[in-house]
Amino acid sequence: MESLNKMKRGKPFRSPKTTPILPPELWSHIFEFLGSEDLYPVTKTCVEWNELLEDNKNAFLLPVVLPSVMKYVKKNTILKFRTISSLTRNAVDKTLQSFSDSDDEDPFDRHCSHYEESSSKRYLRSVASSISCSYMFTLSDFGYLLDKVYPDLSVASSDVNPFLVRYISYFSDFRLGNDPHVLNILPKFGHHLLTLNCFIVGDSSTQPFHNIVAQLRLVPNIKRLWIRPQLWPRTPTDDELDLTGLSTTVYEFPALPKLVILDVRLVNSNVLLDTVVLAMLRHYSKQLICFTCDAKLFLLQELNVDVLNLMFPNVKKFHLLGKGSDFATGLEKLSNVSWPLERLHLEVHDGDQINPQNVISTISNFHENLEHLKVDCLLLPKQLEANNCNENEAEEKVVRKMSKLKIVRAKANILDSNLFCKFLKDNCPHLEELYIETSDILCRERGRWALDNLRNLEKVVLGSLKSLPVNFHTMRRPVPNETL
Amino acid sequence: MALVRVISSDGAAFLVSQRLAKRSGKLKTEIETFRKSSDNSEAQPEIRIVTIRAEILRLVLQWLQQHQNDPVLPANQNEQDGRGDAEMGQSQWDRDFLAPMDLGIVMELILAANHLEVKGLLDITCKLVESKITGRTVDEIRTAFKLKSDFKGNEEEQTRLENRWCVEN
Repeated sequence: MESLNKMKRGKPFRSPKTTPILPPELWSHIFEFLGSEDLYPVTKTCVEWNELLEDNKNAFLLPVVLPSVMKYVKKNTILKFRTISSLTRNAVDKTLQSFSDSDDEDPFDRHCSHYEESSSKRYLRSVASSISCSYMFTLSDFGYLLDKVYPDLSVASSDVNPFLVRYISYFSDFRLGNDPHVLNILPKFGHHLLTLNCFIVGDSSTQPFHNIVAQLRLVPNIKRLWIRPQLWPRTPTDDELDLTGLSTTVYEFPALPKLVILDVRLVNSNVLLDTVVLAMLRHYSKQLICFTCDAKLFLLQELNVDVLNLMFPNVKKFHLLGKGSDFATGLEKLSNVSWPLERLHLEVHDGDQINPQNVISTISNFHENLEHLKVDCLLLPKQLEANNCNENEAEEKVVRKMSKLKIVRAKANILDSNLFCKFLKDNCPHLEELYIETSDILCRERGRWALDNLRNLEKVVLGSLKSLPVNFHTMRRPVPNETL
Repeated sequence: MALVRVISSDGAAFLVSQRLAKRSGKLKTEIETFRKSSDNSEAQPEIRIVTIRAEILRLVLQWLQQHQNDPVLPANQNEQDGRGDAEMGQSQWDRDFLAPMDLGIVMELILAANHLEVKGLLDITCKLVESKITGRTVDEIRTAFKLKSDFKGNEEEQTRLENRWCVEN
């Protein structure tokens, strides 16, 4: 034992006054059983223990400092840290996975919460996402990556996880058939995956969907499933889809007990929504905590409010996006469902303006649990708003107080809506943070209005995520009587 | 001059000016919290840092003292990564300050700078550790950090395999 050797060299170790008092060599023996996280606090407990551990301090300090140091090194060096010891490898993997593209359970954080994120966090996020991109299974450009390691994988044990951040992207391309690598790798290693990101490439067939459904049984432990038609050359219209066999297909969905996040945002063909997506939801919707879809899904007659309630008893985060013209029905249904939503994100991707009254009734339907709201659409301007109000006065809904709403993110335009401002002022007493997406971050007027009128507001962040580096300005309430 | 007592995990007390202490984000918050909770505005704040021992705390305060007139670095100064900052901030004094330290102390300083939110110190210490790793072989790194590989069986080979997948050519 190192400590005993030292004692022989004539430098006596002392023991701290513990009850009972143990000799240093016994402490030294005890410490051998502790891991990095536990040993570091021991060195700070007292001078005696710090001296006792001096010799192998580096071994347990390195994994603890790695998350800090990683921000200063290049990707290949970060990967090199993994090969030093199993402790450093675990430290790196833990850090990278926390920054992985999948963003834990929150698909929308990626897009909206990083105004104030430090440069180092952004850097690690980019490293994690570049690593995720390495796991891109396609026969075209990225195939060589797989060829590089495939010979080794074919002899590796299936207990080995070859997916660094437990995430793969997979292209299902009807023109090329199934990627043979995927068919070889998924059966053996698929159980290690937590995230499956399927791109559907194809312009006239529903075959890729069948393939994906068929392959779900190979990834029994996934938490997140993203299915996105590749936008290139473009998403097929319903007329162009080859529907041969679609109506008679009976899908066999495997049990995916850990699946809680489903993102089908780019599936906006009525036919696919009505068949594959609906079949999928019938199978998995009850377990979903996080769901993202196109507003077109709500146009399906079958999905009335009662069905929606039965389908999504657990959904806490919901992201609705699509064309403005499809939104009205979606908002109408949403304002009557009883979902336990904590986060809501409404995103209109064309320039269509939405009636603020509809948005407000939808939001206020979730008044009990909603904490975080993002409104990514333009609201009707004031003049039109007034007209609309008069028309709708008869059926004006009761707007309830939001009991938990703390964070709102929105386009600057929403603060031009009198109705929305009134809603924030009168019905959101707990609002603490307001993020305004604007290209003109020096336009403080809106921020000042918010700080003057919203009682509990702590800060307003004016920013634009479109520019890089991310440009933002934070306004806070001046602290009264601040002493210097 | 307003003072503050900063106490290390092993009980050593350092008396420093509040102006100096406030260059640490953490101490600044602590001083403000103390102010709010104290009736007497003249009272001298006392802050116990349970995670940092005296030897390390002394070094942090010494570094702060030397750099007390530097402009405070905002957390997100650089666009993509924090790598540029360190070179900018590193003076001859910093190099002499770090030169005699062994890696263990440097790593403890990283944790302390991280905890106390002292960006400039975090930059130079991380940069130092980085320089011991970049461009070296795994065995050289193990020697420099006095580390032994604790991989079992073929774990090390497997880790290299995983890496190979992600390393750019």
